[in-house]
Amino acid sequence: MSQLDIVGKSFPQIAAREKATGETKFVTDLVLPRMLCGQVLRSPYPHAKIISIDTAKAAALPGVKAVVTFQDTPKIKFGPRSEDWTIFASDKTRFHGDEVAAVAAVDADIAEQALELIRVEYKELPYIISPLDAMKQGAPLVHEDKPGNIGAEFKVEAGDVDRAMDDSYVVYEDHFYTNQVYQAYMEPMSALADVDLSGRVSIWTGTQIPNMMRMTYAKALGMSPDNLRIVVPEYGGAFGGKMENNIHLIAAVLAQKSGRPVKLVNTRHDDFLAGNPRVPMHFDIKIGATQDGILTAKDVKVVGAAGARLVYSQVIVATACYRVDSLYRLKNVRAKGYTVYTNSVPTACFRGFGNSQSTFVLESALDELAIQLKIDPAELRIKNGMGSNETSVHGWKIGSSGLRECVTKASKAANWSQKKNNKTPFKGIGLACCNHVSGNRPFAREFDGGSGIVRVGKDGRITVFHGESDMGQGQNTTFAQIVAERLGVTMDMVNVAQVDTDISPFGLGSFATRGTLMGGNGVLAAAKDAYDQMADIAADMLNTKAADVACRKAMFFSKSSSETKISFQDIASEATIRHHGAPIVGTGFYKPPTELPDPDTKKGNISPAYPFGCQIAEVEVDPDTGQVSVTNFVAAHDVGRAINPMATVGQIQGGIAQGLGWTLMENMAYEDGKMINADFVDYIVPSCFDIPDIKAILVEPIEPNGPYGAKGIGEPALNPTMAAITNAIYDATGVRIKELPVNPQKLLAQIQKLGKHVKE
Amino acid sequence: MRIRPFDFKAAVSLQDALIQLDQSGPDAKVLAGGTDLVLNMKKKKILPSTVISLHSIKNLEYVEEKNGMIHIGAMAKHADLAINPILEKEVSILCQAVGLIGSWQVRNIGTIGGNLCNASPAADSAPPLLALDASVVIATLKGDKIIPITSFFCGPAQTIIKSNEILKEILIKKPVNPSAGCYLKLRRRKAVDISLAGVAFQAETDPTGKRIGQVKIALGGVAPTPIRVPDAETCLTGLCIDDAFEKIALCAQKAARASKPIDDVRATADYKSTIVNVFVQRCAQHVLTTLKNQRGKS
Repeated sequence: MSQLDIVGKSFPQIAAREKATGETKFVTDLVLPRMLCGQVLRSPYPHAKIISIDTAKAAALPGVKAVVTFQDTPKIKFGPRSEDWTIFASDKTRFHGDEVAAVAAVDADIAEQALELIRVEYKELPYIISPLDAMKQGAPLVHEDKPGNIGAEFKVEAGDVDRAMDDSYVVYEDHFYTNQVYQAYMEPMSALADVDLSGRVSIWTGTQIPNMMRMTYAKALGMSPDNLRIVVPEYGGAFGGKMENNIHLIAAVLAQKSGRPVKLVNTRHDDFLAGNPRVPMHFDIKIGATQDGILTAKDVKVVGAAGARLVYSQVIVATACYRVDSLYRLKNVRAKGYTVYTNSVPTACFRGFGNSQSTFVLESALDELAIQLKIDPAELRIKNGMGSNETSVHGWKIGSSGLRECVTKASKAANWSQKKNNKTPFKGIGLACCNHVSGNRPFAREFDGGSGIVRVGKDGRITVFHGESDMGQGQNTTFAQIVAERLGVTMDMVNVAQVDTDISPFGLGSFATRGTLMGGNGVLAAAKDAYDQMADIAADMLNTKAADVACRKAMFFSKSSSETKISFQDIASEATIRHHGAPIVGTGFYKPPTELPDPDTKKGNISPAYPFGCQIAEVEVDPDTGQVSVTNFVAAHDVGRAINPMATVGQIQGGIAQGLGWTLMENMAYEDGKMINADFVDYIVPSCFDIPDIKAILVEPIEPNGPYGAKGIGEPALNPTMAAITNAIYDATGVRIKELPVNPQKLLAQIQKLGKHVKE
Repeated sequence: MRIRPFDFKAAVSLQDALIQLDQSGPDAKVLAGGTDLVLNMKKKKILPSTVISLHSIKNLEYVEEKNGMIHIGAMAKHADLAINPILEKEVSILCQAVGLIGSWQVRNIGTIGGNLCNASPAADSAPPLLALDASVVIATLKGDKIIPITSFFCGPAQTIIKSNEILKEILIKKPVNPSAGCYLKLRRRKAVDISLAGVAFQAETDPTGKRIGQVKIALGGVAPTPIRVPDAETCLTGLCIDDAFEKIALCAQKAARASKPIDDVRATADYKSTIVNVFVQRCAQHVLTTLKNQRGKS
C-alpha cells in the first residue's frame, strides 16, 4: 500500500469542538414549533393484571393534548426478533416500569400532573426475577403462551466433548454468574416524533440501527416502512442499549393522536426502569486440558434472563454459548443456552453482546487450569491462541490474528513475569484475553455488508452519507478519514451527513463492532467510485489516461509528469459544469466473504475479521475491608490498522473503565421485584479516581478484509477486563470471584476463611 | 422531575429571613446551597409553598477565631472549609470530612449549615463536629440560642430546629493541648459517594502531653442520627499514649457494638459494623501515632 496521508494518523473527533463548547444539538435539545412534552405512566408492580384505566381526568386537564393507552395503538404484536411486544401493556404489566399510558401536554409540569390524574386499577400477580426460578415447574408465567418461561433455546456441539473430557489430564468445573448492568450513557433514551398531513411519521432519535428500527416500527404502527422516516441527530452514547424501545413508538402514537410534534425524554429513573440493560447470565462451565496445557474440551450451559420481552437476548445468549470458542484452538465444544422470561426490564445489547459474559467465565476457568497445571497463564494463552490463517471449531476463518503478539507485548509492558513471581501480600496481577467479531453475519439475515454515498459539490466540498450510527465513538471521523484518504483530499473538505432514512443508504447500523470494517468499507467503495469519476475528468484536463492520474493533498496530477497540477476543487467544478449541475455522486458497497451459519451445526464464517486482545490488571485488596483498588492496567489490542489511533486508544480506555465498573461496583438491585437503585446515587459507576493509568498498545496486523487493514475495537475493549481484574484478585488473595460484581463483604469473608487475614 | 411552583423570597438579613419564615407558615423552607432541597423538591418529597433564600445575606460564610472559640458561619461552603487555614491548623478533622462530601460542584455550592439541617444520618460534616463537641447557634425572633450538637439531631431528616428558626453559626472550642483527629468514610468508589459509614476520631492530650486527656468518637451512617460512642471513648481516656495503643481493639469493638446500622442497597448492617470496627482502629492508630510524634518533637 502506498504512503498514507490521513489514515493511521490521530484526529480529534470532527464534532469535538461543538461538543466541548455545548453547541451540539442532541436529541434532548431539539425543538419543533408547537412541540408537546410527552411522559409515560409506568407499572408500579413487577407483574399485575390491569383491571381498568381511567384517563378522563387527565384528558380534561387544560394543556393536555393527548392521553394514550394500548387502546390507542394498532394493537399489533411486534418485536425485532420475537413478536412478543405491544406498544403499551394490554391486559397485564410484566415488569416494574412497563408502559401503561402516556400523555402529551404543552409543558412538562402539566404532563407530570396529568400522569398523576390517570387512575389504573391493578391486581398484583406473583412474579419471578431469577431466570433459574422462572424455569422451575409451577413458576408464574410472564407470557401465558410460553411454557416454562422459555423464550428461546440454543444448542451447538462439535467434536466429541465427552471423550475429550475423559482423556483430559485436568478438568475444571464451576458455576459463574454475571449480573444485570446498565449502559449509563450520558443522554437518556429520547425521541421527537412528528406526523405530516399525509400521516407520514418522522422520528428523530439516538439509535444505533436507524434502518432496522424503521422496519420493526413500521410493523408496530401498522404502516408501510416508506411512511416512516428515522433521523439520527448527534446523541449521547449507547453502548448497545439504543436499539428498539417502546418510548420511540409512544412518542409517535402521541404525535398521531395530538396532531402535534411530541418530544419524549426518559428521566434517568425511567431509563433505568425501562431501558435495555445487559442480559444477566448463569454459567455452568466444564473445561479440560492436557498436562502440557493444551485445551481439550469445553462444555457450557448458559441461562440468561430476558426480562419481560425478547429484544435481542436470545441472540446474546447464543453468542455467549459459542463465540468465545474461536479465541483458542478448541476442537471439542458443546453448549446449551436458555433464554428465559422474567418479570424484569427487558434485557438486550451491551458492549460485548454475551461474549463479555462468557469471556469472564472462560478466562477465569483458564486461570484455574493454569494454576492446576503450574503453567504461566500468559503461556497457556500463547499455547492455545488462534493464529492468522487458521479456521476455528465453528468454521471461522481467522484472516489475521495478533493474539500472541498482544499477550507478549502486554506481558512485557506490564512486567508480568516479575510481578507474577514476586508475591506481595494482597497485591496481585491478572491477565485475560478476548476475541470478537467485526460484523456478525446472522444478526440481520438479509445481508451484512456496508455501503456509502460520496457527493462532491461544485465547490469541491465532500459529503459522506452512511447508514450506520456515530453514538460518540468517533465513527464519523473514521469515515471522513477513509474518504479523505481515498480521494486524496484534506480532512477539512469532508462532511459526514446525519443519518436520515430518506437520504442515507440502508446501513444496518452500529453493533457487533462492525462500524469501522463494514461501514468503512462501504464508504471506501463509494469514495473509489467518486474518485474514478473525477479521475476521468482530471485525465482529460491533464491530457493523460485516468490510470496515470493521482490526487494528493487535494491536487490532481499526472504520475508520469507531475509538473502540472489541478486542484480537486477545479476538477469538481468542471465535473459539475460538464454534467449541467449534477454533482459527482459516488456510490458503493462492500460484500463481506461471510456465511450464514448452518442452522444445525452453527458452522460458518460469520465475520470478515476477528479482533483479539490481552489485558493485564494489577490490584490491591484491602484485607480488612475487602475493597479492591485497580492500580495499573495494560491493554494490547489487535485492531488491524488503527484508522485513528487516538480514537482507538480512547475506545480501549473507555472499555476498561466500563468493565472496571461492572467488575467492582455496578449492579441493578431488585427488592420485591422492583429495581431499588434506579438513580446514580445508588447505581455506582466509576469516577476518574477509580480508573488507574491505562497503557494501551495497538497491535496492527494488516487485516486483508478491513478498510486500509482495519478491524473493530468497540466491544473487545471491554471483553477481557472483568477476568483480568478478578484473576488479579485471585493472585492477591487466593479468592476466585465467580459472581459479578465483586462484593467487598463477601470477598472479606472469603479472605478471612482462607486464613490470610493479617491482624495488625 | 420538575419543581412545582412556589414563592421565592430572598432575605436581605437574618432578621428579615426570620420574619419572612415566621410569616410564611410551617411548610416554608430555607434555601442555603440547595444541593438537598432542590433535589427533594424535584422528587416531590417536599412541596414548600415558600422558599426563603439566605444567599443575599452578607457575611454568613465566615470562619473566625475569638477567645479560644472557632466560629463558622452556617453558609460557609464545603470547598472553602476544606482548605481553611484556621480549621486546618486547629481541627483538621473537619477539613478532611467536608472535603469528602459529594463532588467539586456540590462542595462549591453546598454549605455546612445546610448539611447539618438536612440531617442525613450519613452527613459527612456531622461526625467530626460531634467529635469536636461543637455547638450550634440557632437564630430565632426572640434571639439566639446555643445548643450542643449532641442534642441537635432527632432522627433522619429531623433536627430540633423549629420551622421558624434558622441555623446561624457553628461553634468549636479550640483545642488547648496537643490534639489530632481523623475521619474515615466507607465509600463504594473513590470519590462522589454518600458515606456508608463514617468514623470521626478526635483526641487531645492532657497538659503534660503524655496522657490522653479526652477522646471523642462519632459515627455517621450507622444509626438514625450521627452518634457518639462514649463506651468506646472511655477505653482510651486517661491512658498514657503508649498504653492506649493496646486498647485500640477493645475501643473499636465497643464502637462497632454501639452502632445500629441497617441493611440497605448500599451495604449490609453486618458489613457496616465490621467497617466501623476497622475504621476506629485505623483512626485511632493514626491519631495516637500523631500525638506520640508531636510529643517527640516538642
